[in-house]
Amino acid sequence: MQIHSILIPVNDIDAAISFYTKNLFFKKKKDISKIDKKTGLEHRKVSLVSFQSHNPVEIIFSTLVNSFNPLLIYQKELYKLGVPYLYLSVLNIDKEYNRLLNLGVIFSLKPKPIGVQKIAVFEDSCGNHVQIIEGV
Amino acid sequence: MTNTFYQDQIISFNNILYSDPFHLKILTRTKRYLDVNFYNTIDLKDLALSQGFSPYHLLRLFKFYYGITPRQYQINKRIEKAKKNLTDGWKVSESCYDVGFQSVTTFSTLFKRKTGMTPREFQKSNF
Repeated sequence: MQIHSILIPVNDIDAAISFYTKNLFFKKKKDISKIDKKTGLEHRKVSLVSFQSHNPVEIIFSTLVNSFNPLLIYQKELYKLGVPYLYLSVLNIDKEYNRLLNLGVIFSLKPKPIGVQKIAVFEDSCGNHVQIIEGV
Repeated sequence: MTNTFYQDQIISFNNILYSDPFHLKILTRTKRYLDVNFYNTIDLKDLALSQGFSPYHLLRLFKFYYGITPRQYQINKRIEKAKKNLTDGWKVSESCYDVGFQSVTTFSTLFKRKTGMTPREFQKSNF
């Protein structure tokens, strides 16, 4: 078995697609949407994969997840405490920090050595903190 | 700017788990050596003794901090470089010898174990 996908609750799916594709080198793999005839609500599911690696793990944004209240409470609490929802590995954290900073990304933790890793944490502008990690 | 809860937790975690700066220094030096010399034959005994450690001690510490042995780390580095070579269109045998393997069979076996594909299957999937 291997990890297939991870669901990330975001408060705006289009803004999240824009952030993750433009700033974090992900590309859209699937974007499916349909209107529920009974309720008139649109259901949408988007998956992204990294185009910088051969890692097939997908990041999923979905309206289904966004309407699940306990998850939104959990996400808000994590955000309030600065706890990352997603962890991404990078080759050079200082380079990524400067690149993202120049793009206007807000960091809650500047690059910091933790054991044999260096980590930094930033906001994805959609309600989550994301941690980047470099092995040193 | 005040620290978030997460930052405080991370700092405390760091102080408890990684409290020996000497070990960190030796290990990051060992890893950097492997990063540069992964395609060479590396003698763990020489590597350890040159830093004042017994081979067993270095192996144990490396595994504690990185989760894998220096040999496994070296193989991972070789496979990653081979993946890049194959993606760039190199032949399987060229990729194999470039990263330091002496036998294409050993290379293919390890490659499949790490990636789930043979080098040729990997190459096809990237074209």
